[in-house]
Amino acid sequence: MARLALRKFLMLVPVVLVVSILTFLLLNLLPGNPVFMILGPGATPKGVAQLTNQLHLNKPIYVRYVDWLWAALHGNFGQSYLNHEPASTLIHQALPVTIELLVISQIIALVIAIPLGVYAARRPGGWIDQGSSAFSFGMLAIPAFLLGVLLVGVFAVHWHLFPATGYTHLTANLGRNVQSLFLPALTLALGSLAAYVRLLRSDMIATLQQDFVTVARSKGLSSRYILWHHAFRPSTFSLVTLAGLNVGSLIGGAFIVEIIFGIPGIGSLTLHSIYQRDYLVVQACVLIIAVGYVFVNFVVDLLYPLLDPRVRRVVA
Amino acid sequence: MSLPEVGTGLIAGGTSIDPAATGIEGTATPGFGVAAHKRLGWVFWVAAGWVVLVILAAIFAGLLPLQDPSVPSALPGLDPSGSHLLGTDELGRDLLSRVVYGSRVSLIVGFSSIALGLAVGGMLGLLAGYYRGFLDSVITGAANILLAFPALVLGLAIVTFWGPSLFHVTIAIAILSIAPLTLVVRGSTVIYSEREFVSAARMLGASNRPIILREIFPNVVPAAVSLGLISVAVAIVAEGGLSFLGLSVRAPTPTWGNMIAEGQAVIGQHPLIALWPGLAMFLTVLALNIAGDRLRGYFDIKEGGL
Amino acid sequence: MPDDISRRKFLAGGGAAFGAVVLGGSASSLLAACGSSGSKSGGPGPAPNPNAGISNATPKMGGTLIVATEAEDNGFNPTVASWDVTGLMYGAAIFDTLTAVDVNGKVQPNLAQSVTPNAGATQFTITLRPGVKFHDGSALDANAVANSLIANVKSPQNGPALFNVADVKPSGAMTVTVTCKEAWPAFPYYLAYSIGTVMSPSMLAEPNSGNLKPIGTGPFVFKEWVPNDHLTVVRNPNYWRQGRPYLDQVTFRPIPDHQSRANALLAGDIDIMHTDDPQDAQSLPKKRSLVSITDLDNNATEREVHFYMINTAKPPFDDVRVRQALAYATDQNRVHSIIDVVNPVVKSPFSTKSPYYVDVDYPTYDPAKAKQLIAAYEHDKGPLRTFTLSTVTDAKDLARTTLVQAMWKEAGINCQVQQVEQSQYIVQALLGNYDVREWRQFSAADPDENYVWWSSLTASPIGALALNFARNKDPQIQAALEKGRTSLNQADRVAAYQEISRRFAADVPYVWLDQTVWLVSAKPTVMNFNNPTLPDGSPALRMTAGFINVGQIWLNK
Repeated sequence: MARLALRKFLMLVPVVLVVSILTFLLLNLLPGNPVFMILGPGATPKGVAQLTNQLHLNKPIYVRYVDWLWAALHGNFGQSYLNHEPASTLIHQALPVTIELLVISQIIALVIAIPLGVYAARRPGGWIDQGSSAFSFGMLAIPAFLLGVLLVGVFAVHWHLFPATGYTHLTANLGRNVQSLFLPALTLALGSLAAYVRLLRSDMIATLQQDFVTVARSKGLSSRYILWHHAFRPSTFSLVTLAGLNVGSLIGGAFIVEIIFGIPGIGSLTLHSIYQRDYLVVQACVLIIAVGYVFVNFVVDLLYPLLDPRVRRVVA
Repeated sequence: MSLPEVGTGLIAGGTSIDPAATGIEGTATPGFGVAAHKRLGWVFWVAAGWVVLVILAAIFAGLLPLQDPSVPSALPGLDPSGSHLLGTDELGRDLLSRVVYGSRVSLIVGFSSIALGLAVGGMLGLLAGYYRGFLDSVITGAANILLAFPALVLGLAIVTFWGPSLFHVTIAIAILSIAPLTLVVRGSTVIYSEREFVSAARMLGASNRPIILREIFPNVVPAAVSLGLISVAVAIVAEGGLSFLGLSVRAPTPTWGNMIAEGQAVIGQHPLIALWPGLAMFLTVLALNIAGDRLRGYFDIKEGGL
Repeated sequence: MPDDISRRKFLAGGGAAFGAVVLGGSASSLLAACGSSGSKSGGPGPAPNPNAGISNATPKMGGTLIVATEAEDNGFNPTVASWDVTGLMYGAAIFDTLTAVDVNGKVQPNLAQSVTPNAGATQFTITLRPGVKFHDGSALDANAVANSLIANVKSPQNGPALFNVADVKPSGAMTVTVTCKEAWPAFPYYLAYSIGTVMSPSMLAEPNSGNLKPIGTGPFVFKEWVPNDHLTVVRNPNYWRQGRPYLDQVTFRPIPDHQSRANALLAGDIDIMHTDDPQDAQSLPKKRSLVSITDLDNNATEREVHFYMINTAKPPFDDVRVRQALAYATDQNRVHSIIDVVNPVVKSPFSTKSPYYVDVDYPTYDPAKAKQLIAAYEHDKGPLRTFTLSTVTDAKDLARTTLVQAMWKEAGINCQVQQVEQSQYIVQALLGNYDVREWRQFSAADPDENYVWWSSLTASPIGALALNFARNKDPQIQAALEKGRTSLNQADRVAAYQEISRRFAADVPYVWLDQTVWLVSAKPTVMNFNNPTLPDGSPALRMTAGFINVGQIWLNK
């Protein structure tokens, strides 16, 4: 098992490497370059040449990639061409914001999904079951941009419960921080909802069919007690694992929500940097996102046998 | 990691993130008892009916009594009336015809990109799942690389590089869909490869190709089709997202995505301009999700009754 | 104001594209809207309050102000990071400029005590105020100012605008002499913006020329910057203008999407913001919970013009008949009433209230005439090809361009609309890789600031960088520009710029639309945001192009 784990871990390295090469290639193939972004309409041939030299953009692409890789291995991810902030600083500012957003969104998703999943399992085919299924599908069908619009219109502008846009730091004010993240987290949560309800439901149904539940019922315990005190806990393992995994794998996926709500997370940093052809910052962002995703996958691969309910039932 | 717009694990990551999506769970679909007696249910037929309606309207839009979607024909921002059933947009173009013509791009992109993705991804998944070993490692490794790549960067790069057009957007979304589809089909194939009827066929002397084609493929198809429908829904939303960034089909050709983008600039004054295409997209995506899910439950024969 | 702010017009457009949050409409009002009336080109609304943003009461000290801006800029050194209006606002908080423009549009000394030209306006002596200190305690002296100016002359950013400067030298402890190659009476205007921003030598000595560590003489001291999130500055207790600033702290937050920005103000998350969205400029002044001003009535400087720029070096646009046809086919008033509701329509870069204005024979809407011209062209040179009409990835710009496309189609002129993302948009203009494109430019306190954009000297062929993006080589315009730059007689200058307006009207390198109007809206507790004063107490230029000067604002809490 340990050898398998080590081998799988080592597989991460080439994956991340290839992703970094692909990103570098793609970025440099894109039309446009940061020099014009920096100089704006005042660009003259002399200025362009001067700046291109300064930024080392005149070197061949493989040389620039190797330079980048070498520096990256020493922990230097370069600077933004535009504002000269080190890429690592920018990521250091942006990544925790996205992670906090994702954590809150998964918590919200769980809070909504758990009652729905539990009661759907209690009576499969009943109206809660059908209703929650329809609701989850409905949430899946609304694009984030439309959903964000509705949420802000109702909760931020009309009722002033939450800020329309922007982010307050965790250290500045905890209350305002959560307030500013609530609506974007909700928007994200509704997308994960369907998967959670479905998973919890199926796990609960399986657990409810087990012997110890029958025993509890014959002892005269109420359905509600059985549901929550006996059946629920064993069924949550995969749910919580899935939620945890989503935090890792959604790091690159929250960008539209970040843009709409003005959350300075890694998604919006990546997008802004692409638009400004800020190559080095994009490289660093993609690296982080890829590492996050790949690492999560690695963990899943290890844990997968435990996630599969059939395997667990057999073991139990 | 999934296509832009949708932050759910339902499509991306297949086996790794949402075990439920692969059909490995052992339950009956909602609406029925835990019995082997399965029907698609009336909800399925309503959903399928809507999808068919939208497709027909898109195909025969030219024959319908609709105004030109690209030419302003009245004052902007009008409310629904007799001559303009859904009102007019911010330039005075008829909204009903724009929504109908807009469905063309959304549907073409949605269906063709996923058809392409399934063709390529499905084939790769079959091969990986059946042969296992080195081929499997290579294909799965490549799929993981593609999945680790933020969809945003990839989609943006492809469309920016080639220029925005129907064809390029379709290709971009198709490429993004290959990895998740490959992994899901592979997962399904692995399960079927281990079934008795495959070992039986082998013992009878059948070589690999006929086994894949005759034993495994027909069993994987239904799951792939239902997954495909759900993926089409995601692709439609993804095209909407690219439209938003101005990276989809050029104006004045309407797409649901660029109509929503245009409508949101004036949503304070004329909310209907964004609402109609939003509603159309919502209903179509919902219908596809439901239809896909019902189909999956219907074909979910292996775990019945466990 | 110079082109410092014009660049970002497109870039703000690109940034706003994907942020799209509703303005002011709750879910219930979304449904209720079904019953509302149609096109809202509505009536005049409440008359603008001329005293909005002006208060002569005694300012109260203290408080934190939150300002929402339309975009993020790239740093605090304008020789390294070009500044749009946001950058200029950052600059006005942290630095001082050598000169400033007064309420009548004339340039006056600001940080400098005086800027004196010699008889031929070929040499300027800048005399500094005594006793001013930078935020790190070092003294403001001639060396510091000379360094700052020389950094500008050498920079790829600002160098091109300063090609007329031959030499910058301290000529005393507190005087600097600038020598020009030819007469340049408008030079002091350039010192009122980024070029005249005085940076301390210790800042310039930092890595990246102190782009992240600004040290100036201004009313506020830099505290913290998280790009695309916020900038925080705190009061400078040793500011040389006694009694100022009034605020303890200012936080700037970039909110690129105009609806989000307006939303944030309406929801009370921010205190003051600016916008150039015409619908916001029309609807926000109607809100009683806010105090709003626009720069529509401020004609002291020239507003930014909105137009379609034609690549005159590329066939068929090298034929004046085609260009004129485009102008005849454009119904400026329709664009105005449908989209640009508050922006005044123009026939030249100068508004009717400008001292340089002259009534010109610019083509008015006449589709029949357009068809005639095209027919004449096609008779000589064959059918007119379908060309590309470019715009940015912003919903409103797209709507406008689509409308114009439809109008041109009515006149038989066919084009395809292409949306281009921001990083490409300026490059295409620079290199001449376009047919016709939507563009905004030409705002200026003095028309000489537009020299580089209109000059034949900067009109390189397609494929080479050109600041004259339209590549319009007109010897009459060049002569007029020279006269405008070097004349010491104001009447001659006026005549020169009037000549330029006439040439544009006859030759049509630009199809004019309208001028951009900016709105500044604030909570009622924000006082005096439209009442800036010069150091001697006389009134300075009122709000133009969205510029909010935080050094003069106080909070009535």
